[in-house]
Parts: sequence; structure tokens; C-alpha cells
Amino acid sequence: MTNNDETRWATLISAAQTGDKASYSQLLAELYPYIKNVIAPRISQKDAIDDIAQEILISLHSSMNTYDGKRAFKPWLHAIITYRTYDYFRKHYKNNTYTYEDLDFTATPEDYVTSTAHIGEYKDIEKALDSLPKKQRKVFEMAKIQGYSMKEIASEMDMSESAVKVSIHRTLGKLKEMIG
Amino acid sequence: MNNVNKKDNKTAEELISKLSGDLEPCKPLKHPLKRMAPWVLIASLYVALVAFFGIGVRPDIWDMLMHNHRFQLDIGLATMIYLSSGFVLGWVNLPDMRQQPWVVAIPVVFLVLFIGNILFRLFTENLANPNYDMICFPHSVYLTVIPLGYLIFLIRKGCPSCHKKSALFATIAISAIGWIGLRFTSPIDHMVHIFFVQFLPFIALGILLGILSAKLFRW
Repeated sequence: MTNNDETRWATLISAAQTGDKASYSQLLAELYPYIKNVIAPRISQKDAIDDIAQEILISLHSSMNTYDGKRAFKPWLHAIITYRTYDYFRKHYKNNTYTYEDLDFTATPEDYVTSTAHIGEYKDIEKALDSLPKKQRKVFEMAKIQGYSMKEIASEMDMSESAVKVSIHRTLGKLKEMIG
Repeated sequence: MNNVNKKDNKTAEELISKLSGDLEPCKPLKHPLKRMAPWVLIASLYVALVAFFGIGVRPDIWDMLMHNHRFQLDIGLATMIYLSSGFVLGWVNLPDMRQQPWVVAIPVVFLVLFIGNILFRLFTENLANPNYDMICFPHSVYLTVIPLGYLIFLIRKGCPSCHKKSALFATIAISAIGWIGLRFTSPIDHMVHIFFVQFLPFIALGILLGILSAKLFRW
């Protein structure tokens, strides 16, 4: 968010307080994606992000008279975002509505690459990986695809941890060069 | 303005359109000092009326007010706690606390001094032959019921982003005004009585308000 956004939103909400529906509609339309971006990193269930963002818009609507045009808009908005997000967490965990998702069922690289839109990219990566020396490729795959820790890879490959890090760094550089 | 239910709306666009359609002009809330001033005034008047005409003030009240320094200190600190916490609730009732979160330090400082004074006296005064008067329990209810109801109403009209903080400062404000009323009406100055009969019941009130705060102050 830039200072321009801050100033514009403050102007829009001040106009909305006087009953200007067009300004209000514009404000809400601009805030909705912003709110989603703010809460997304805190929420694991993607479906819930829309719900919470909409709850926040309703809270903003019902508490609009608590905004004072002489004060900054952003801290006021963030106070409401935080309040509603924690409110969601409270309800969510109290009702035990959360579910643990097995990593196998989430969008895996395999799902991603089987999407027709990404098949070309996947093949490029495969090709680039094939061109790497066998050891370097194995180190890279263990770290970035299979999710092993540096320590585990170092032990498995009989290398030092710093050598593993250097190898991965170089591989990434090479892949970047090859794929562009 | 508050009658919008998200479940009625399928998409964000529909919700935005509904909220915009429901928009009515609204006046920004007054400054917290102005908003809480009526409560401070009404609570003071109510406690004075109950103390003077309902329960009856202690016979030595003027003497205590004029000459007893400990009594003056007790009443002075409790008055500062009552005023500061009552007014601070005006800030706590806003989602962003007017971006002045430091205001909560004011009643906390007075509260620390007050508790320090009570504890100091508990350890230094002669606590032998404690004199209890359990009538102070119902008196504390008479003295605080209306100010508490009005305060809860005011908090519910605001949009506090921390329910527990609202409950805490409401308890502090009510306890302080109730305690002043009890000190004006009860002639017993024994510290054990002051601590256990006049002070602890308000802590129980605070715990109760804290437990109920999420339901009471949700918006």
C-alpha cells in the first residue's frame, strides 16, 4: 500500500460518512483485494479467506462512525482486520472445524505440472535437470523436491552442509540460466 | 447499518453492492472525553444520591474528609482511578484506540499506587480484632448497579477490538466509584474489612465481566 492509497482511502471513507454511495462502493472494491492480501498469509484454509474478508467489510461498514478523518486510515483498518481475523480463529478452533490436510492431497508439484498450462514449463525443468551431473541433480532433488534437511543430505551424500548449500545455489543458478 | 449478513451474499461484488446500497450518512463519534463525560457525571450523581439519601453517609464523614490524611489519600487515588479509567474506556471502545494506546497507562499508574497503598497498610497497620460489616456487600451492589449497566450499554455501542481490555477498565472504573461510595457510607476503617469486604468483591466482578466480555462486547 502506498501513501497515495492511504490518502485516497481516507478521502473515500470521509465521503462515505456523508452518504456518498459511489465513493463507498469504490472504497470497498479497492479494500477487498487488499484485505485478502493482508489475511492470506495468516490463514491456512484458502476458502476461509473470502469469508473473513467479507466479514471484515461488514465490520468496517458497521463501525464506520468510529473512524475520525483527522486520524490515519490504515491503523484503523488494520485494527478491524486483526480483530475479525482473531475472531475467526477463536470460533474456528473452538468449534473444532479445522481439518488437518495430508500433504498428499494438497496441490503437489505433480498436480501442478499435469495442468496443461504448465506442461511445457515442467518439461523444460526436467530437461535442465537431466543436463546436470548426477550427484548435483540428486542433491538438488533431495533438497527442493523431497524436502530433506541440509544435515540429512550432507550425511546421505557424504558432503559437508556448506558444500550442499553451495551445490544447491549453483544448481539454481544453472537452471535459471537454462530456463531463462 | 449493522443488519447485513454475509450468508445472504454469495459474492464479494454482491456484498459490496449491498453495503453501498445500505449506506446512510453517519457522524464520526465524538472525542472519547466528550463521549464518556455523561457516564462520569451520571455515575457520580447516582453514587452521591445513593450514599446520601439511600444508604446514608457515615457520621464522621466531614471530619474524615477534612482531617484524616489516609482517608484523603484513599479517596483521592480512587477518584483518579475512577475518572481516568472511565475516560480511557472511550479510547478502548474504538477499534484503533484513536492510535493512542498509551492512554491506558494513566489509570494503571493510579491503580498501582492504590494497590500499593492498600498492601502497605495491610502489612503495617494493626490488623488485630478485625471488624466486619457484611452489609457492605449489598451496599456495593446498590452503589454500582446503575453505573455498571450504563457503562455496559456504552461499551456495546462502541466497537472495542479487545473485549478483555474493555472488561478490565469497566471493572476498574466501577470498582473505584463503588469503593468511594462504600468508604463514604461505611464507618469501618479496619484494613481487613476494607480489603476483604470492600475491595475483593469488585475483583470477583472483574473476573465475571472478563469471562462474559466476549459475549457482552462482541460487535
